Amino acid sequence: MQLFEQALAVLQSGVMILDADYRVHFINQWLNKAFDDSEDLQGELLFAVYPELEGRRIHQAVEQALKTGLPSLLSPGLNRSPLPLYHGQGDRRERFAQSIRVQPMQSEGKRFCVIEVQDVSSMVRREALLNKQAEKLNQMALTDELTGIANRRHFNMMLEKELRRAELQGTALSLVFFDIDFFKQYNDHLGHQAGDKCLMAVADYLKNQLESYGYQVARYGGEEFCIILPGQDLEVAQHLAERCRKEIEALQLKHPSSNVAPVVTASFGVAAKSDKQSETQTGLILRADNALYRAKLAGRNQVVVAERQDQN
Amino acid sequence: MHDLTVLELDALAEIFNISVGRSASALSELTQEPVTMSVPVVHVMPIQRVIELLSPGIGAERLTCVSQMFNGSFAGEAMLMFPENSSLEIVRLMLGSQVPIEQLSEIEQDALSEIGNIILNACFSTIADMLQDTFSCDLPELTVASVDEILQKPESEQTVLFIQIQLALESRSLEGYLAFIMGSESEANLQQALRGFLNGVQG
Repeated sequence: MQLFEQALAVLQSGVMILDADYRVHFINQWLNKAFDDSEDLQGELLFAVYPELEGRRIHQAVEQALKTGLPSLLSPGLNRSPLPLYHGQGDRRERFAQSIRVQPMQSEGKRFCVIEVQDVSSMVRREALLNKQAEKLNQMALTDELTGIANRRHFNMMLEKELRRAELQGTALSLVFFDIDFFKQYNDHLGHQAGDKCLMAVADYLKNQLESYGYQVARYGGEEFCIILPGQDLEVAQHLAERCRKEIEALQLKHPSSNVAPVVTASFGVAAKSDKQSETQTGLILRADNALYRAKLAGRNQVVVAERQDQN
Repeated sequence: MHDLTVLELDALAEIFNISVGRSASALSELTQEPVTMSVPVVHVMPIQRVIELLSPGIGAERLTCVSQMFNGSFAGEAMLMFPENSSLEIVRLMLGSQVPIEQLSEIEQDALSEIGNIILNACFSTIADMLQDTFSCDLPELTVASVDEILQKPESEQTVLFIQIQLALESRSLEGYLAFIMGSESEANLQQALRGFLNGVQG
């Protein structure tokens, strides 16, 4: 055996040469062993032995190499496992992720193609693990630790995305800001632990009642919360804010130091972008926040709607 | 070398529209997502002009570039370029993943190389068909770098066949660029082949 043939035989990756009839002109040991049934493929017609590969990307790549002379790359991201190749023994035997290169070759006036195969399963596994961890970190960075709902950072991202979508599709978008009334006094009177419980109860209510409608809720900071209503106009948002106001009152969380009610209540500001006008993120937040401020000035435990932008 | 005529440019636009159309269906099949691509503009210009064109709009942002060297009746380097952010978006939409990392992972780099390979190969095989020519080319190489780094070549006299492509997937529309960088001799050969093709069509 020639030296280069010995080298190919000990190689820990696959090499196969097909001729113009798709017949296996050469296959190295590693690749032959990895094919599901370990019969020798040497001299066989590849796509007759594996008819299920016909018309698939690997078949197209081989065809392109042999007919048009163009090389192809098959990446594990887009083709997890183009060839029926397995590693491991017994129960642990599994089809592995592959990275494949198909290149045209000419020898003595005849066309061939070289298929080079690598087992990339450990890379795929490592990357899946990294992704999972990055996702977890990301989730942590976007969630409010106390209440488990979205934090301000996440709210900004969601609003930006929804606003862009509304702008693109010419739909409406509403925003509700609300603030628990006399929360500082609540904390001072009942202690921070009770304060935390109160915030959690309100967040739970929001999460359970609103997220199923496709509304997005977030804790903006302190005792301030917000609700994004994609596709909804001012009337719907006002109606929803009014409902939230009543239901937060109906939670019946005792608030001895409130000046407006014996229980926890909240003040609401509502602003919207209509389907016709366009609006910036800051503009929308400022208008909702301003409406909330006016709700507080007007005596709290109520909903105030920002003036329509197009009437300004 | 004379400038390409309007008719010749139209023929090129037609060739590239067919090419990207073919690659779009190949990509749809691979990703099981509807992918469409079109070529609004084909242009021939000096490489310096391409650098200027891509620099201001994209600012300091880097480009992701998949390139293949090619050889045939005309020869040079073929590139598919996307602004780095768009390339992240494209590969994640196609892989259906939501990686919150602002850099291409190894698998994503390979996938982008394959996407570039599919698009560039479709261009070569359509050109080869139409102009009755054959090409040989290298496997794709991926680079993420500034416009200058990607396009600054030692011989600055080169001409670029520059093609804007519009790629739509999952309600997103993204812009990319195909560039075929060639020497003046290749450019003349391309023009000659185009004329042959047009004469054949008209005759």
